Amino acid sequence: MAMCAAVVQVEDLTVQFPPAAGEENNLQALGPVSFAVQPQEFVAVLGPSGSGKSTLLRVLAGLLPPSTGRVQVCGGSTAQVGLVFQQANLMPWRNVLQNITLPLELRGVPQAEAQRLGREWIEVIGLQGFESAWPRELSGGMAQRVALARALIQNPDLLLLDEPFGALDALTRERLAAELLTLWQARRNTVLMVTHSISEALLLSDRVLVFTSRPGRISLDLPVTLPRPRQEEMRYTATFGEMARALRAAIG
Amino acid sequence: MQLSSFLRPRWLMPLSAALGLAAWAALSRWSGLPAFILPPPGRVAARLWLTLQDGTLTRHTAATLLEVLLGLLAGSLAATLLGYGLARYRWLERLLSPYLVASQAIPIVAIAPLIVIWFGPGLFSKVLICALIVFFPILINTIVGLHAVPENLRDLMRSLHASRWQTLRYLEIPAAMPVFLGGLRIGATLSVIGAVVGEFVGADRGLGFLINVARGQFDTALVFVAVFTLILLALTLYGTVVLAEHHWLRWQRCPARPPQSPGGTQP
Repeated sequence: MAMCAAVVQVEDLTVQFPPAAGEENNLQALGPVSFAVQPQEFVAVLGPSGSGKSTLLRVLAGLLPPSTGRVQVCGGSTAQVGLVFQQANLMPWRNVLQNITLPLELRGVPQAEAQRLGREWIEVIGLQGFESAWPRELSGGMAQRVALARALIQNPDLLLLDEPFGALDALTRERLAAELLTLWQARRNTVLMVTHSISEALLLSDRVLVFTSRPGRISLDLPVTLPRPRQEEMRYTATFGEMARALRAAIG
Repeated sequence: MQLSSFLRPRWLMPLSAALGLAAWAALSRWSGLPAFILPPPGRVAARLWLTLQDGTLTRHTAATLLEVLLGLLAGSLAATLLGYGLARYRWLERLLSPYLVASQAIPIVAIAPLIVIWFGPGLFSKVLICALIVFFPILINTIVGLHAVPENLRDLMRSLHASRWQTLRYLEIPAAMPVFLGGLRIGATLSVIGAVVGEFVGADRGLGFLINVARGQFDTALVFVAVFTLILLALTLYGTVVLAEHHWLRWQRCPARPPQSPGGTQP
C-alpha cells in the first residue's frame, strides 16, 4: 500500500442527487462530513435510515462521485476495496468456490493459486463441503459468509460493509457478527461498516460515527473503550450498556 | 398396470404419438378420402423407405439443414452484436428502434421473392432469409437479457476494478444467457421456416423444394414425408438448444433452499 497518513481521508464531503419529479431543489443526501480512518482501524457508521450512510460507502467504493469536498482512499484508483452489501450479491452462475475466487481471477492470479486461497477461505468461514454448491442452495447466513470471504480474499486495503447482516434473522446475525469479530481480530484489515445495530457497532468497532438524518452529518464520534480482544459476552457489561445509551441518545 | 402409471411424463409422448397415428389411420380408412388427399400412414412409411433408399431425402435434408444452420449462425451473430450495442447505448436504441420495429411489420414471405431476385436461387439467398427471420427474436432477447443484469453486480465488478471486457465475460454474458437462450430456442425453429420459405420461392434442392415438386406430381405421400422430416429437424434443433440450456444453466435447476426460519440453528 502506498504511504498515506490515513487509509481514508474525507474532507467536507457532500453528495446531492438531482431533484425528484415535482420537486425543485436538489436532494442533499449527505454532508458536509469530515473524518479519517487510520490503518487497521474498525470504524462503524451508525444512523437512522436516510442518513446517507450507504451513499458514503458508495462514494468511498468509487461508485459515486462526491458533489463537493474531497475523498481520498489511500492507494487511489488502484486501492483494493472489498465491498459487502446487505444482500450477499453472489453470482448465481458461479459456485461457492468460484464466487470467492472472483476478485483473484479478475486480477489475473493463476487458477491453482486462486483455488488454493479460495479453499483456505472456505475453511475459515466453515463452509467445507459446499465448494461446488450454487448460491441458490445456500441459506442467507451462508451466502453472506461467502460474500465476506470474497471481499477478504484479496486482502483489501479497505473493507466496506454496508449493513452486512441486515437481511439476516436475529440469531444468525449475532453469530455472524461474532465470527466477523474473530476474523477481524486475526487480520486487522481497515474496516468501515455501516449498520443500524448499536450493539453490533460497539462489539466490533474502535470508533462509532453517529450520523444525523438527511442530510447526513456526524453528530457524535465515539471511541469504543472496550478492551481487545473482545468477546460476545461483553455485550452484557456495564461499559457496553453506558455506551449503548450514549449512542441511542445521539441518534435521537 | 394402472391408468395413472401410463400418464407418467415419459409415457405421455409415445402415447400421444400413437393416438395421433391411430386417428390418422382411422380417418384415411373410413373417411373415403382418396390417397392423394390423405394417404394412409402405411403408404407414407413406404414412401419414406423409398426416399431413404435412393438418397433423395438425405440429400434434400442436408441442403435444408445447411441453410438453417448457416442462417441461424449469421442471424444470431448479427443480432447479438447489435443487441449488445443497443443495450449499451440508449441513443443507438432510440435511433434504430423505429427501423427495427418497422422491419418486423414486413412479412418475410412477402420479401423472400425480392431476396431471391437480388441474390439468386442459390444457398446465399436462403441463408439470408433464415438470418432475417431469426434476427429479431434474438435481438430482443439479447437486449432484455443485458438489461436484466443486476445493478448490484455491476457495482461489485466496478469496485473490483473490472475492465469492460471482464465485465462482459464474467457478468454480462452469463447474466444474459438464460434470456438469450430463450431467444435462440425460438430462432432455431424460425430458421427452419425461413429455409422452407426461401426454397418455395426458388431453389433446386431442400425439403421445401421437395414439397413443391411432390405437390406438382400429386405425390401427397412424399409431401407428408418432407413435412415430417421438417418437423423432426425443427424438434432436433429445439432440443439441442434445450440441452445447451441444461448444461449452461445448471445453476438454475438445483432446488432453491427454503428461506431460513427465524431462530433456526442452521449456519
